[in-house]
Amino acid sequence: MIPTAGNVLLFAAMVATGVLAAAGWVAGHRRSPGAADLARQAAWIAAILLSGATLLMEIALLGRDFSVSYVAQVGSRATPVWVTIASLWSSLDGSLLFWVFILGLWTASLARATRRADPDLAGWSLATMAGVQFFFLWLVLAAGRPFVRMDVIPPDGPGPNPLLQNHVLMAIHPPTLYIGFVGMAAPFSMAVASLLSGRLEADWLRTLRNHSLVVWGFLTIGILLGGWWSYEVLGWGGYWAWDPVENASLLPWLTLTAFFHALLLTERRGQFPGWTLTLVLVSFLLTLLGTFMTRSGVFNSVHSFTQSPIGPVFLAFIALVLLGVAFLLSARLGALERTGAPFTPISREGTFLLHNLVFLVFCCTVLLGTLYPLLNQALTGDQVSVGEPYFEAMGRPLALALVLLMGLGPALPWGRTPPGSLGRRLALPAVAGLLPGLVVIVVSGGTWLPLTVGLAAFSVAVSVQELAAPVRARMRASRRGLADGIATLAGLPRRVGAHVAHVGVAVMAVAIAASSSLEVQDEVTLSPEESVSWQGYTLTYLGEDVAQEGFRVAQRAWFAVRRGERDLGRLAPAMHHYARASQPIGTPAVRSTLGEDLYLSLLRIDPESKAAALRVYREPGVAWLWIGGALVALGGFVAAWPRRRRREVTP
Amino acid sequence: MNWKVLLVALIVIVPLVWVLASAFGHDPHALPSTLEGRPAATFSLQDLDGREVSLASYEGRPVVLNFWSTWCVPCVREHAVLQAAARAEGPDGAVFLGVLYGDEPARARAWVARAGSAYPTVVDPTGSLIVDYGVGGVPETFFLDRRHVVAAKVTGPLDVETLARHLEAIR
Amino acid sequence: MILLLLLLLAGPGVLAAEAPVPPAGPPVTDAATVQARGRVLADALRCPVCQGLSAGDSQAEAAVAMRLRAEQFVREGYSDAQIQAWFVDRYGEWVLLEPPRRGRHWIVWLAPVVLLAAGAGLVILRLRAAATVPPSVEPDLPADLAADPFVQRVLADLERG
Repeated sequence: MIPTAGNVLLFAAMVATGVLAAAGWVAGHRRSPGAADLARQAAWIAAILLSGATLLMEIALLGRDFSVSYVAQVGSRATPVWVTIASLWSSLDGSLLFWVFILGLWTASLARATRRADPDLAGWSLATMAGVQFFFLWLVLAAGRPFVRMDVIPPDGPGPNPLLQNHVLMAIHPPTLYIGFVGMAAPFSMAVASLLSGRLEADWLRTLRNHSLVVWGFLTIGILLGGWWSYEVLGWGGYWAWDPVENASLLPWLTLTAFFHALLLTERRGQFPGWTLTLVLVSFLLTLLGTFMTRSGVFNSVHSFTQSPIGPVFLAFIALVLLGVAFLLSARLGALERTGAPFTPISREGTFLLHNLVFLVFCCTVLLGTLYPLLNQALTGDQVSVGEPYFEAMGRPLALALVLLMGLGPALPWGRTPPGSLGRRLALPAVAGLLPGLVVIVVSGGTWLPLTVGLAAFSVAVSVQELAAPVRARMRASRRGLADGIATLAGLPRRVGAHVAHVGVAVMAVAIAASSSLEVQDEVTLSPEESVSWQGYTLTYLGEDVAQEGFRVAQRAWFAVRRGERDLGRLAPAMHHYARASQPIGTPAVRSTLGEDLYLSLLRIDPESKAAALRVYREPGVAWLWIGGALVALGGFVAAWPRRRRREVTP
Repeated sequence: MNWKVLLVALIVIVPLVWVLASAFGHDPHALPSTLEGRPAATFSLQDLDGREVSLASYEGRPVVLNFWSTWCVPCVREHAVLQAAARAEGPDGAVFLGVLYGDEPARARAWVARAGSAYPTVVDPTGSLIVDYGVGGVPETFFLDRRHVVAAKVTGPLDVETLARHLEAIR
Repeated sequence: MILLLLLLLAGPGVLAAEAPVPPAGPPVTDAATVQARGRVLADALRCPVCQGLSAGDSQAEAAVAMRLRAEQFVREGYSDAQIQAWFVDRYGEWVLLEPPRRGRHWIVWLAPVVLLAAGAGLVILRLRAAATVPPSVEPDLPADLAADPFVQRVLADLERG
């Protein structure tokens, strides 16, 4: 029953997407409002059908219906409910279904957002979105084929990859990242519509910006959760390994961040509209590239699916979109030419240009480093690796330049900086940056950490100054005190969002610098009852136990942790044995505080002596990475928050 | 039409797609070995039953050196292939040796007692052989000729044909 | 660096498995030095089984073995360059986590710098172009803030002095 129904729903969704594409095209070409309405309806119907298909797959997974091929491939009677639900995206075929489901939802969201837009903009953007959706649906039906009926129904399945069953984050990280990755198609479609119609109205740009902000927020959270998963599960004490797939998720984030700043130039000053739209197009292309990296099996990564036949097809699609974008840009960029407001080098525009350049160079460097092993192999057949040392050496100066520009930009006015005002604008932030920087030089020494702390403090001070300005202005005008002043900020979501995100980035920069330069690690082996003093902690090995946790067996080593006289509780790093897994999977135990994390990773427990060998890490400031990241994403969502419409009806 | 933009775009696009396309057919996990054609590292280690096994004592005979572990599913799968080939060798034929990789000797002993083995498996407590042979994961099999020069390295489970082909080459 | 090149040029055979070239220095006995240097060396080597992690970070068997071997060589008095060259000889160039700065690998190191320089040139051109039109003095506040009636009143007050 379910296989047939699933295929029918997917096929119907494909038809609806076809209608959507055709109606969108007509609406765009003939500026027909009727066709635009039809397109919107088709978008909604497709979204409902895709939701139905996805729901059906979840029902099959939860009902352990092994007559469905995908369930037979990844399902298992032993897995708990959350693993079963997450199984949908644990393997290639299911993840494609999930992908197209989210795409359907984004198309519907675009349909909603364009209901007041002119038919040509609505039509072109929906038609573009339909094209992308059609391709992914075709992939699901032709290559993924999750709903094949099994001729022989197996009694049980193998369950998903054990690495994916090891932490609840696996149920949250991929969907969040997918929402961001897939969602990039919406801003892309809007940018294509802008290019095709040659229109850049403020309303349209606002819709484009808000969609992009939500996409960017999810992308931020998704990347962050990926790092958190890596930290909590993989047990090497780190959160970012510059793995190809990690890089792939960073690339569109970088270009999209550059886009928001370029968009400010376009919206406020009428500058560089072509460049702004190009950044959106490139961001989407980079999400496609990232998808290819994860799904083609060409890259060596923890996150990638195994070798699959969809690689070449996907590459052909990417090539097609790339060429389409290239022709679109070369044919239509001229239609967007505007004369913008003039500006001098020392102005907000000037710093934004520099900042866009640094973002672009950062993005190209990461892309080059990621692809270089492939390039080298194609040219010479030799293998070469590009890993953490390279990316850190290249990335650090660029990232610091960005933190500096992040403070400098908002501190300078649009257009030009009146002579003499530079000191007044930068004096306080400069002091705020210098002091902590000097303190860090004295306390810990080094180059990168004090530099990062100083620049981050500088940019935070600018943000505070920028948020305080309207509050003070309001207080002076209304004379109603601080609460009233702060209330003005509610009317400035973009300013507040931007600065919340800036503060978040500064916090993350410091956390990254601190955790990478102050990390301490060691290997220790303890017999039962034995204690060790390490970095101010006292670890006492209490012994091991084995717990049957339903779908897995956990072999845990228990440690009592003390710091001086204070009892900090127990930590139990473990080895998890999965029934069908080849090798036990080590799972670290982390005691996280705002200052530092104590991170225990179990290496092995000797079967005879029961001695436990483990790696211990002291990781300063890691908690602030998650806090800063949350602020960054929050900033994005705040900036996208719909503003109260000002006096829509004139009295 | 802005030809400059198109040209710049094509200069980026064409190499990018070419590089990505060229990667198909390469397994990113397969890493080349630099050891082929070079003398194999000698060793003298205890086997699972505590007997001394040294590579030098098999002078003049070809050697098949198989890194394996009990938790490695493909190793278990290739076990039968290796056993059959080892049993077919005469007293002066190729020598088969196992090397235990990242596993407890006790577990391996129990496993061998159950599944049987026609040749000894040595225990490498310090992981020294892993580095000497540049081993990544398991299973990996090295074929040494009569002079104990590495003739070939096979990553992943062996099938009957691959094993026979490499055996023929080192005789 | 030169030593590394020489070692590589010497090619296979010279560095047999258990008999590398003579150590560059006397044996190192200080345990902390051995550990610290071993760690730095292992951090620059790629773990062959794991994906993207260094031999220093990974806990895979092969990574642990590489770490131990690096420490052993440090103890025996080999220089960092000798040890790195030994690993390159044993595994191939891919064992280095960053491409060596020579030959065509310079592409990876120089391309970003070239891009940055070219981009900076473009930015300067744009800045010149944008500044040739005499800049009009704009209110020192973003549009949405400038539209705020309270802010407008404040600005008006300020202008009246």
